[in-house]
Amino acid sequence: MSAASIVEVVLIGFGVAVELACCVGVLVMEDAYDKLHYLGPAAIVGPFAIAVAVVVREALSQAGIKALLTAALLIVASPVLSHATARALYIRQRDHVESTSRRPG
Amino acid sequence: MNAWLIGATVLVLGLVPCAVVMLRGSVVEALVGLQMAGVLQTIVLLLLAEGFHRPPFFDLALVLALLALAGGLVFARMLERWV
Amino acid sequence: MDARPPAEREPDHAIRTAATWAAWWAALAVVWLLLVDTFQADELVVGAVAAAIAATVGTVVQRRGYIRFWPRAAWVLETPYLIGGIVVDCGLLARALWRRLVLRRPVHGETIRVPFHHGGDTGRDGARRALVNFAVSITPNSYVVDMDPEGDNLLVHRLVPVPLDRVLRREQLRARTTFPTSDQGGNP
Repeated sequence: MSAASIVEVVLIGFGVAVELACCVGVLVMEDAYDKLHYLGPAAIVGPFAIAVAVVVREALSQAGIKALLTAALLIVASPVLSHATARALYIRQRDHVESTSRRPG
Repeated sequence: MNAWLIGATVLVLGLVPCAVVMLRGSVVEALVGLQMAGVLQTIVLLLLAEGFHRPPFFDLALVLALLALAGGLVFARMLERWV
Repeated sequence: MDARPPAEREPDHAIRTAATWAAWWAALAVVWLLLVDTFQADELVVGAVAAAIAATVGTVVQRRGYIRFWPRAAWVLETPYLIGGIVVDCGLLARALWRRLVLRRPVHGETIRVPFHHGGDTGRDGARRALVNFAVSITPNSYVVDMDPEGDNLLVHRLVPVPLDRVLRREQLRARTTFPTSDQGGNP
């Protein structure tokens, strides 16, 4: 097994572990505001690790560039989606569409 | 079987907690589960693309990432007032 | 305000519009080349036409004032601090997950209001609002829930209470600085 293969396996393992941990975080955290935090590492760290693994294997070929572009898109989208979802929940609670014992503000 | 395909298979298991959240949580918690599932599936496509050596799957992953962003924003906007 | 007659202003408007269109076209053409990874003539022609159509749409939207986004180039220097913040926050979230899952202790986030100078409708202020929101929300331990223009504050949710990060500290300081305006003359 070459050094590059070992790096690929480590990056894939790390990326998959981060994703699964974030899925567990989304499951076990109590309310939507707390669950939303775990989208961050899932959309930033995991895709970055996998994209780097693709680049290690394919160099900056079309595959490597597309993997990096996909990861970049997920990274940029993550804070946008977090804010939009949190704001939707805040407005629903403010307008009494959704009740919670832990309203922010 | 290679590390890429094993990674993709394991990641698909991550859809189970997402499904639990979507089925049992409130509508906004379900949206969070849906967004997590979208991220997971984008990464699964990247892993499958490399595992099967199929370059078109990279395009699928890119398009899914884009559509997941757009869809998430549409759902969030709808949930503010209309659902 | 430009006091020149309209006939003299038109060449400037045309030059600015052309420059905007060219910038859009160049950026989109680069994205096309990254995606197709070939310099075959037919692919280049299709890419040029697609970029031209998209550049036209982008220019029309921008010239109608729907996009007011003029960031300072110096703001890109914040990137290393953001990356450091992401790394640190991933550690905080991992610890919170450990507490919740293994130690079975409750983990509850908190929402805080941070003073934030909302500013006006200029491109600079719009870019600052958007990028502050982005910078706070990309670090996993916090995200912006709401921006309150009347109250001049940000509603931020954090999973783990920690001291304010660099971006929020700076915006808090900015908001506490007095910006004299015509309706803040000190009259009771």
